[in-house]
Amino acid sequence: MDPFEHTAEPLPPHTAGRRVAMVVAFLVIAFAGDRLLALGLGALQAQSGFRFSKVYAEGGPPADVLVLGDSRGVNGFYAPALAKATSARVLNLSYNGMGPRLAEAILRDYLDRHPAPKLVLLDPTCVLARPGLVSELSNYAGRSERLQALIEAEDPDRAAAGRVSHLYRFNTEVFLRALFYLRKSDQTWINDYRIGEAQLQALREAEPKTELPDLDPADLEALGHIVTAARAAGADVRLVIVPYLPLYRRLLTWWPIFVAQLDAATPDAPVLDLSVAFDDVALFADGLHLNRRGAAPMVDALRAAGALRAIE
Amino acid sequence: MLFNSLAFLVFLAAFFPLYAALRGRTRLWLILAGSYLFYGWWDWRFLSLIAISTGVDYVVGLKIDASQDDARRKRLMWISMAVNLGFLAVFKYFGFFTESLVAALQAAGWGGRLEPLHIVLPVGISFYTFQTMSYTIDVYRRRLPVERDLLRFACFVAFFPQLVAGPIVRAAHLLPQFRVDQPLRWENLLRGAQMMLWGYVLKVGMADSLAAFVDNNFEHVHTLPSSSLALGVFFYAFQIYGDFCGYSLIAIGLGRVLGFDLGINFDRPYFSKSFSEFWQRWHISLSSWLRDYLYISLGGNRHGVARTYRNLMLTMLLGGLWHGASWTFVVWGALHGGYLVVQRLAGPAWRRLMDALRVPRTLESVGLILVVFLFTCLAWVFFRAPDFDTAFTLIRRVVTLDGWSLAAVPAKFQVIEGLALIAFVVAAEALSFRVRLADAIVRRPVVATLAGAAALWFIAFFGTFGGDAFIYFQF
Repeated sequence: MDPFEHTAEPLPPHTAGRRVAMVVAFLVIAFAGDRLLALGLGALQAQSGFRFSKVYAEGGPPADVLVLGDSRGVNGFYAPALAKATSARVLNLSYNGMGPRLAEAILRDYLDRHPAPKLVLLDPTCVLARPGLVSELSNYAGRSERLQALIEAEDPDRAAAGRVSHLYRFNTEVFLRALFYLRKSDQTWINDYRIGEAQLQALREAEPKTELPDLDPADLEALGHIVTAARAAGADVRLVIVPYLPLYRRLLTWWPIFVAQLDAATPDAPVLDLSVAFDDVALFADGLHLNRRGAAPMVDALRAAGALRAIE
Repeated sequence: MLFNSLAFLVFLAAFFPLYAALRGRTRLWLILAGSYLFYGWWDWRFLSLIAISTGVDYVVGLKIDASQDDARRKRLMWISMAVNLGFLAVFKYFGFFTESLVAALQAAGWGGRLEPLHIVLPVGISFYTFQTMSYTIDVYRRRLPVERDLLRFACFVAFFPQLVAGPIVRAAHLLPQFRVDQPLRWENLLRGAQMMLWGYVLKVGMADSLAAFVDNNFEHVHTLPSSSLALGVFFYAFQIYGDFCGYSLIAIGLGRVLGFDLGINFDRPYFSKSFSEFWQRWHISLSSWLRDYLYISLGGNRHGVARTYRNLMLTMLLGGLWHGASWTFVVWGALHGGYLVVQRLAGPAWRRLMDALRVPRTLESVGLILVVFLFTCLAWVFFRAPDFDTAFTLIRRVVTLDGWSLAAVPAKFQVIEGLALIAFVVAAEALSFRVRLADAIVRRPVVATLAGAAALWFIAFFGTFGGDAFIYFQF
């Protein structure tokens, strides 16, 4: 019996009226269900402890420190370690692949809805993030005109599909994460493993990267906008480059030019370059990311560099 | 034109009303024009291959039918083989054979070089050439009356629902269906739409959602933890299943909507308790083609044990090569050939062992399903890997648990979503062994309406819409 094997018995006859009713009912149910399910999912994600749900949720305790960046920001500024060391309320809004334009939109949305933090920490290497995350946040687009505009600009097909099907807006990994953190905070999320020997060996044998990736001028501008927006709200802003594994960092032969470009983009906020601050392999999950063991030393490094002065 | 593209939806919206309105030869002309447009959308130049294949097999069929001289009939049949296999040899295998030859010569000390020729592989060439060859062979074997109507024959070769990735429908089954105007029936519309929706669930909902994780794992076999690589292979088993079974269901469902019966191509293959059963459930139209036109032609199991095993191995090796011009596909075929041989060798001893141990049949069945699936996954590594280094590195690292760590598996949410999708599909298929699920749904208008809407919601919520082509297009 194959899955679509049918009995020899034909279907009971459907009158023309019944057929039309079935087609109309199908269309109505498909459309109405799409809207209703999307509404339900939207309400559900509003209850989540996931970082972006906190941005768009009403109320909630304000944060003293906001963190922005890509995955290096996620693992480099570990909120529990920062909170423990400073007694400040820390909200890490960094996310894998988050570029500066998205970070700016998230920051502005946060500032529109919540009291300003005392300190904004930003890892400016997020200018190297590959584009693509913006449309992953389409599940929050209904709550943010800025996000919607970014999606329209970067992924018009996705934006159009999201207008046809509201349920499709929730077809993102970010939404699944929001569901996962429905009754808990996501701020304890960090790489919990250390780099393996195979990866280390691959890095030892890797060729240096001689060409600086093309930096989008709009991304560099967005770094400046983040600084301006945060300062306008009364927050101190620190641009801190989270450590790389030295084996990896030495491959980036264009590093000084890169940092100079970052500095030029944010003349009022000098970049604190901690890219080679740590050489203990055990503190890294891979070449680019710190792990849980690296969290406390990172807080110490921030403190030593004076980056936490606003909350101490 | 891809079934999962906007262009196809527009094409279908224009084609279907015309199809419903037209009758007789005008409808056949519409099918042919639509099929050529469907294929030509990808690259119109390769329509000439379909046209040549159609013309040659049509004429050869007529001449074979007209001749009573067996030697002449055979010669004519070989002309068809030469043309069709010649297309495959040039467009699919020329680069592979020349590169292999050069590699062999270089290994033997030859110092020369040969720049590879980059010949574009026409989409679906392996499918329609096999379909037309089966027609000529069947006419030669006097198992099929010759088709004298060129238009009808051209529709049989190019019928767009199954043109580019099958199923490979035999002429005896499909050609007669073009002799009458297939009536448009409400029942066919419902059942066909149901198959298409489930096909889209498998392709866009499951297969394409698994693709990113699979691709990442096969690209980073040296660095990712072996736990991730093992999951990557597991996901690939379901990606290729969802991709190809999904395509087949869309094709068969579309055919059904138009009033045609294209048979079945997959029947829950991962529930197979033996490798021979697997090949009766996986890509049924190809495996039965290989059985009828290759394995049996080689002598099948009629000439002793050794010849049977040789025939099995040859059939599976060529089946592997059919899939792609690469030694990794040959190894994939060899592994499956080996599985079939070992199964035949060990089968009786296994039965005696199970009976002696009084192992309950249900437990044995579950164990066999897992074993068959595991070895199928092993073979999939060679099917998916771009080269032997990737395949052997992956297998070595998984077998030795090199860097095994569940915590270090990347993209955990992709993994969770992937596992949930696989569990859903496996559960639906398992249930369909007990209940005629598809039939039960389509018989109840309210349930059918809700299920159809739910399928759309499922696709909207889980689907991946990157315009990913179907994996089997490359074959």
